[in-house]
Amino acid sequence: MKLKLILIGLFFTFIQVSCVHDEEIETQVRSGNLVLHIAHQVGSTDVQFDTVIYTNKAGNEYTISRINYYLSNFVLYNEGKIIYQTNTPVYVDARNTPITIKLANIPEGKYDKISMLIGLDATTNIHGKIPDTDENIGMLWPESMGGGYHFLKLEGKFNTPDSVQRGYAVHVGLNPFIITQQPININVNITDKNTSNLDLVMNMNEWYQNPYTYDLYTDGNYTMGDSITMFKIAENGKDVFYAK
Amino acid sequence: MERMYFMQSRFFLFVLLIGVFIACNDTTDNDQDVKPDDSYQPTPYKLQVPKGFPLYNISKENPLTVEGVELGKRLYREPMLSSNGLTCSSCHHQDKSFSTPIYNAANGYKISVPPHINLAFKRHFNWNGSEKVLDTLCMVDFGPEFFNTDSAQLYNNLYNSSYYKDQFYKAFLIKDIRQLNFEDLKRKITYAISQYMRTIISSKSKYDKMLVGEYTFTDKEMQGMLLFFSETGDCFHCHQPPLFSDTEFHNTGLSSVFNGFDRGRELITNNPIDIGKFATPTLRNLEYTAPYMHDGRFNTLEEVVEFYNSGVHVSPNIDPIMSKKAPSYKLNLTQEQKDALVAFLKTLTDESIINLP
Repeated sequence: MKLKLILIGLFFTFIQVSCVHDEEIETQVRSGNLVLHIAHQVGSTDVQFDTVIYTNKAGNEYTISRINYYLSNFVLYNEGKIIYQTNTPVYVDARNTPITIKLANIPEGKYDKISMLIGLDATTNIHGKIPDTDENIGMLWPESMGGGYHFLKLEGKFNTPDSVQRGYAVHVGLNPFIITQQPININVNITDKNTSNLDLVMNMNEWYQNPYTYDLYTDGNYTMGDSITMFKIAENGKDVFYAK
Repeated sequence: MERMYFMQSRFFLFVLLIGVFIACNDTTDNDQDVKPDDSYQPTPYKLQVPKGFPLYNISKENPLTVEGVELGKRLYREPMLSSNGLTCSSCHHQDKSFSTPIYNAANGYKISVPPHINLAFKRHFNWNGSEKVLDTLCMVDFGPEFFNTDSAQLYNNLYNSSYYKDQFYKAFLIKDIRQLNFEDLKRKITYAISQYMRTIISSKSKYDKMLVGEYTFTDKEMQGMLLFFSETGDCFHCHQPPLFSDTEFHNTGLSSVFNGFDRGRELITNNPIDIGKFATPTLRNLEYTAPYMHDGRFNTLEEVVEFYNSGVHVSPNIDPIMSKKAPSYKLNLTQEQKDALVAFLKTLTDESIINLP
């Protein structure tokens, strides 16, 4: 009888353990979150769509009517080592403010740099790899032109040297032209179960400078399908973000 | 004795297994004391979304149900809703992909009403985006311009119909429609109609079949598709597949002077930047939805293609994407290319829509 009671006790213990939810027995890693607050500025002021005229390094006077792009492959570093990495792509429509991106489950500690891709890496830049929504459906890049998605769409108007207003559509896509934002200096401390914040600013004029001074009139006001112009924009895009 | 011990052991095992089942089960389901009469719930309707289509928009207030869709389908064609015999289908002709060729509105606007297809994937409705929510899109139709609905007559007709009495309960758990005020009754009707409209999905055109290897394009159709998806034709930036619309607003240079309905999106936003902007229409089922553009100014697809080829009007608000060919704003397509584009556009025709039961 005693043996039977012991066996029953062991059985219930086994059942109790079996019924514990997975998350309760996961290894506890001390981690927190980082929320990125994305802004788009020229100089030090937020972009005013359609109305304000900006001037780039080439001297083009231009307005901005569209800033759409993907961000992906976020990487956090400490003292040159990659500590955290996530590849979940985020679609950004700069008109829909505020723009926040949450990076979750970051190991506790200090971080001194962040980098990311503007666009989608080759494994993701394939039709159907990311969920299409009614918002990002305009980002498809036709299969007959190489397929995948637009990484970036900048659109607006600019004045030609003879003061005629024209449109521009700086579109970048295709794997060779992925825009790799170089590591940005930050000072972020992630603590267990807490959320830290980081302001990242895209300086719109940087798209048209460093290393190539890009002139919308002479280099081209339409970049899609033009390898040279897309290359220049992608190179210029490597330092469009900075931490505030 | 041995047999008794065996029986006892089996009994213990049985009790233990029951205990395990209870221990591991979610207790919330077991706490409910459900009365048979109150247990009925509408059946969730699973929308079959074609591969590659975007996530669809459903409001929490009006989830799709089998019963709601059926009710909406009937109401879409129900003359009882009006005092003049009109129904939704009086204007949204199924043989025209649920569109209206030209509607002369009371305010003087001449409108080519867009088709009721793939609405589940849209985020605004009507040419100028005057409506953001599909669920209540039809509320305006009860007014004097369309149904001119007599509320007392509507209550009476619906209440005396055994079908509607039954179906309003099945769809929305409404036991007596007379307990709803008129606004709520109209809302429930439009909820049902919007549920039905969400199920009208066009995805069986030659183009769709070509994508999955069930149809082979002719040389001309292929040439047209390559033009459509190229910088030469440059149709794709606004008319993105699979909806063949980017669900945004554009001024594509239809006019250089904007009065009345031509003012487009600006009539809704009061923002001058939106003058002349209209929602990008789907190109699916174009063969059924002539005439074209917001006011039906073009009767044929050939006229539409020729407009983009050589007839774009320049104004301060023209979309940046349109001035690619500036200063001429002309595509300079050959006749062969224009014919090919039209041939491709016709591959977007989905006959299954006009034959839906």
